[in-house]
Amino acid sequence: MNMAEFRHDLDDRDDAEVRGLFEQHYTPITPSPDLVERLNQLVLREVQSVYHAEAVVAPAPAPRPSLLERMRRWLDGLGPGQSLAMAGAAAVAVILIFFGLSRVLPRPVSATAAVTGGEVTVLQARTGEFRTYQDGDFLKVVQGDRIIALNGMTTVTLFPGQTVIIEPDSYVELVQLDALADATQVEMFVRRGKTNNVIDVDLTDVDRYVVRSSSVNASVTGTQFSFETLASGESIVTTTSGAVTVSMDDQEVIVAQGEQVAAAPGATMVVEAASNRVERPTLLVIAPGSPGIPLYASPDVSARQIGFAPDNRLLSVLSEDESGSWYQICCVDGQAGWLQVDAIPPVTPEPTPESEPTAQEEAAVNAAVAEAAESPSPTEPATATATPSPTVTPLATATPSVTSTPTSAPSATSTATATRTASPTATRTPRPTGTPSPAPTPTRTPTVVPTLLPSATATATLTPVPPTATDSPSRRPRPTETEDPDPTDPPPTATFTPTPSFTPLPPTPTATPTPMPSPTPTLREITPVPTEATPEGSGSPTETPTETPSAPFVVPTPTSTVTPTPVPTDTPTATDTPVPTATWTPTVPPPPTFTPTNTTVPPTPTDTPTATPTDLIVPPSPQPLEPPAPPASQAEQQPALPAAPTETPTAVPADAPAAAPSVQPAQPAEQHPGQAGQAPNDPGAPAESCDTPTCRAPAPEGRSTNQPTRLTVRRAT
Amino acid sequence: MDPVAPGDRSEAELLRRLKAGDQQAWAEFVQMMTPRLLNYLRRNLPTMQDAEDVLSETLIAAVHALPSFDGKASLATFIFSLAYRKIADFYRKRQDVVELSDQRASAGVTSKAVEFEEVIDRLPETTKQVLLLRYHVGLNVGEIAQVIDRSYKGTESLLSRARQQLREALEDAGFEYG
Repeated sequence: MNMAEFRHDLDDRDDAEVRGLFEQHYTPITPSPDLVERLNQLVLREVQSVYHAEAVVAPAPAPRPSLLERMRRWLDGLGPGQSLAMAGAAAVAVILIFFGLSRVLPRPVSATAAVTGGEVTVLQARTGEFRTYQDGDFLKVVQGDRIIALNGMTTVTLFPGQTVIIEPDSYVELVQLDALADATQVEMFVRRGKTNNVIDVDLTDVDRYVVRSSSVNASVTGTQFSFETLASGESIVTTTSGAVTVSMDDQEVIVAQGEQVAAAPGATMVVEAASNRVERPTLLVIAPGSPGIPLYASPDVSARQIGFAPDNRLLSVLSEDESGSWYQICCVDGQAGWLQVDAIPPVTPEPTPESEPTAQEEAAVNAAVAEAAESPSPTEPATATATPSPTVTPLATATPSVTSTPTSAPSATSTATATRTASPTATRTPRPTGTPSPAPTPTRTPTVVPTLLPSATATATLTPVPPTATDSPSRRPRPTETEDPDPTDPPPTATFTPTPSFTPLPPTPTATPTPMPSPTPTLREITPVPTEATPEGSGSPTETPTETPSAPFVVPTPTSTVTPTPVPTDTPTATDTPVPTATWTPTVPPPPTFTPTNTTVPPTPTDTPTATPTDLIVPPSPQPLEPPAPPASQAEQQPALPAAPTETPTAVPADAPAAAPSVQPAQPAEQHPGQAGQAPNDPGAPAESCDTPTCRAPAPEGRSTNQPTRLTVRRAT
Repeated sequence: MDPVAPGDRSEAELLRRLKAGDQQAWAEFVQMMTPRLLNYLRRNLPTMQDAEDVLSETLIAAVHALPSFDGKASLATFIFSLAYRKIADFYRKRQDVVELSDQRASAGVTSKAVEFEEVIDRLPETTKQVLLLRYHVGLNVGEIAQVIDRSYKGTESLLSRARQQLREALEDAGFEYG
């Protein structure tokens, strides 16, 4: 180590030693915050004056300001003009965003509705409250609202150019009513009744207008159409202009202008001319105490049996097979099925005291009518009652056709149909008569007799019973007897017996012979018994059995037989007397064995005139209710209306005879309701008026045009 | 090419901003220099108030002088040179200097510290300034040379002599250390 290094070393040690002394004895002084702040402001002011910079208060190293703060500072830094422009731009942006969203998001809208002609109740979806509107009222409806048109009509303007008119006695739910951009969205659920849809604008692909029922969807692309949901579950879509796409399950058809389609669960949708359905009948099943009328998956007794059309069920006839011996009806358990016309027994008109029978029958009819919901108004009941009468009358005539046919025996059931009308009178009568009463029954008969019922219940029961024979006879006898003379024969009346009660009666034997040839399988089973008895042709036997079951109902027949009865029978019938006779006559036709129908026919007319006329006539409420009824029905009803006993008889007889002959021979097909309806004007053609004396009667309600005619199938009780 | 240390780079950047009149930079500069300046001034001036007054005068002088500062010296040298002159100005203006001892007593420091300060105060002014700048403020020899406006060698010798004088003064005062 040289001198320089040694000196350096000493200096370093001195330096460290002195530094230590200073650190030890010189305590550092910390300036107060106030001092620093004052110095800061002093310096910044000086800097501002020297460098011409803007003053900044306490720009101490602060954390990075937040985005909001920076934005605020940025806005603060904007000039007045810039701020104004920025505010305007922001406002425009907000408006654009709002407008854009409103176009993209569906917006619920309300529609204006006007009530006319009566009362309409609306269940508001928002409040869950019911509100009732009267004629002349206006209201707003929105999505989810339910419109229940009682006796008023509701015109709802859904969107410009899209209007729906909800007819009275309809129940419609606005499932969807909103607008998305320029697209309108409408969906209505017609729970019951009819809606007329008028679309005067061309709907685009994005527009939606759908009317549906529980099973059918009708979507539109610009048209005018009506959508009706019947009580039976069947829906009818009729297009007035444009085209409507109707879909159900995996079926889809396009209904063009002037066409319509009836869609029912399980049935194939067939588009047909709107006018074709006009006369489609509706059947009211009256078969108390029995499982009902058997329905098949196809028009073949060997086909799968779907079930039974139970008592008091209103069925719509959708179509018929080529032979005319099967009807496709709607619906049972939500399914359409095929009903064998022959299963509807011929109607046996039974003149009966108006008073009594009327009461019971009215009740039945009312119930049926109510179910059908045809007449919304309270009038219904009345109508119903009345209707039947008139209807019956005509029907009666026609009835024969149906009933008569093979079914004869089973027909009994069919007869029921007729019942409606006749019922009132006939049925009751019988009772009074007592055993013989059958006579009275007859009156009603038409109805009762038809009694499809017999088929079912009867069959089963009777079959085993030996007495069956007896029963069977009952009926047959009548036919036989009847045949001879015209409907006039009192005996027939007896036959009428409609009153099943009689069944036990011995008449059975007689009946058997009747052979009323009901094709019904069931009958066949029973047949054995009857066969024996039946003197008639082979065919008869078979049927007979069938009838046997019916027997219970038919029973009365025996009475007839027994009776020289005409008298007794008549007696009871007395009042109605004429009727029974007539009725019977038709029955008698059985001779044609097969065509009990025909036979029946005649009777019907007879009955009608007789009993019905008088009493029934009055009720004819149907007319008032359904003024639009086709001429045919009117014609038919007219006879009834005449109420005047005098006229009635006359007319009846005349018709009856005519009918009988013609009908019987006539092919079943021709006699079918549908067709009959078309030729309703022929007063002299009983066949037309009612193929099935018993069963089908052109619904008095008769939808003016599109509504099917209603027929009643009733079984004697 | 001489590598530039990070500290130099940041000081150069700070100097650039100060010269640009960046108020943020000036705020940082005040924050950074105030403690060291206050300690230095307080050891050279009779009262704290005097120290704060001179401190503000020094900073204001810096604001005005910085535009002409060439940056060859450090900012510390620049500001302490101004403070050094301000202290001189202070004494030139005030002939009636109060006794330091009285003021130190009011400073509330320990007797040992007071004794040490009295020894420092009795040293020649230049020796005292050199020692304070070196051991209290923390400047290096070169910076001290610029502050007192002497050569490096001369300052180095001055500093060496100052240490020797301080040792002797402490021994004379009976101040025990080491």
